[in-house]
Amino acid sequence: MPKPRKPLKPQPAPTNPVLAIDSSWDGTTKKVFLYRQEHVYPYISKRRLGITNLSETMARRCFFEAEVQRAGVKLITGMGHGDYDQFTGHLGDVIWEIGKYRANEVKNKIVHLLSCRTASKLGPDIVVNGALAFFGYLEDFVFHVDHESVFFQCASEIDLALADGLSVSDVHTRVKDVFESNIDELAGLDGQAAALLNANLQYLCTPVVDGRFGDRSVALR
Amino acid sequence: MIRKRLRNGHASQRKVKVLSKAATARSPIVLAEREASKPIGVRSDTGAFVTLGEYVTEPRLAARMASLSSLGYERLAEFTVARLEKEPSELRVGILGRDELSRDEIISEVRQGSAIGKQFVQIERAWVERLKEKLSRGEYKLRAQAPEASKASASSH
Repeated sequence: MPKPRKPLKPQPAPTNPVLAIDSSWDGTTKKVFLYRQEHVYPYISKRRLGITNLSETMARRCFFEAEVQRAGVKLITGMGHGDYDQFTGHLGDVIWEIGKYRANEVKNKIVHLLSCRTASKLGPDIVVNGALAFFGYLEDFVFHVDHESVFFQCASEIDLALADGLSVSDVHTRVKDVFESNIDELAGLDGQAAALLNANLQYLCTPVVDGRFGDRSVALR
Repeated sequence: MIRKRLRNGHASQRKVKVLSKAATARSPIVLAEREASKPIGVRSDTGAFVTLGEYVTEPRLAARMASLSSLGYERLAEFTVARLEKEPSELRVGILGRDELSRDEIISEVRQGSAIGKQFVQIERAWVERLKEKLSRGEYKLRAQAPEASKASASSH
């Protein structure tokens, strides 16, 4: 007579290692949001990395705060309006602001903010509070409307390369190569578009650019 | 082939997408035609703008050009506006921190010296520096640029 099986204890569902937060409440964020939905998140999923996606009206501090503190979150990739000391979500809801978030929201995580200016002060603050690495931009992220997908592709390469398991240093190299190739290509088509993409590369901050943005040797897995 | 790909960390993970082979080929990138008529510098003797076309075809001009870093904001703004005026009026630039700006709105921001206007001055300046560097290395060229002019341009820097 076989022994009756013990009832299984309910196990907590494993936390997705990638937490994405995307604004889409105005013309520019909507465009980037749609690009990331179509090209970035499917790629990350193919790499067998689960994603929790807080987008549109869910891109608010109240939802983000609950998700970001779950054990197992390793990468936070955010897109929305930003400033030197803050990153915002839906309708300008402040997601992170210097002095107004907990260190455990960023500790041991890699953070990528596709947003304006956050590398100036918020990025280094995130690293001081324990993030492993930060990717972001010193000034406004600009794009030429006629070639916008090229701009979004270059910026998204950060998430794709991280999902591939590359070290931050190798991510930087790959992203820089993609930017450079596309700047050269655009130079032959539209000099203004090339100038704008070149500016984004100049403003891109990573741990390779400056140690204030974290450790260049870490990887997502 | 497979072995080679596996040695290359990037290629083994994913082939990085670029727009075409042109960007990775050794042959110089032929710049968009509009670039030739845009100013790339300022003459130190007369203060006149020097277009990219003039800069490439008259290599001696390089020695007579003032460094952009020596110019004050007002002159840099004029330089930036002169470049932007060569763009079609339909130009639209998206900015994640605000919305989209037309060419004329950008020009207005540059003239006012607003934060975004100053950023556009920086953008044009950084691009001009890159253009000069790439031209001097023979990595960029103008469509009508004769091989002799290209060599002269490269050797003058």
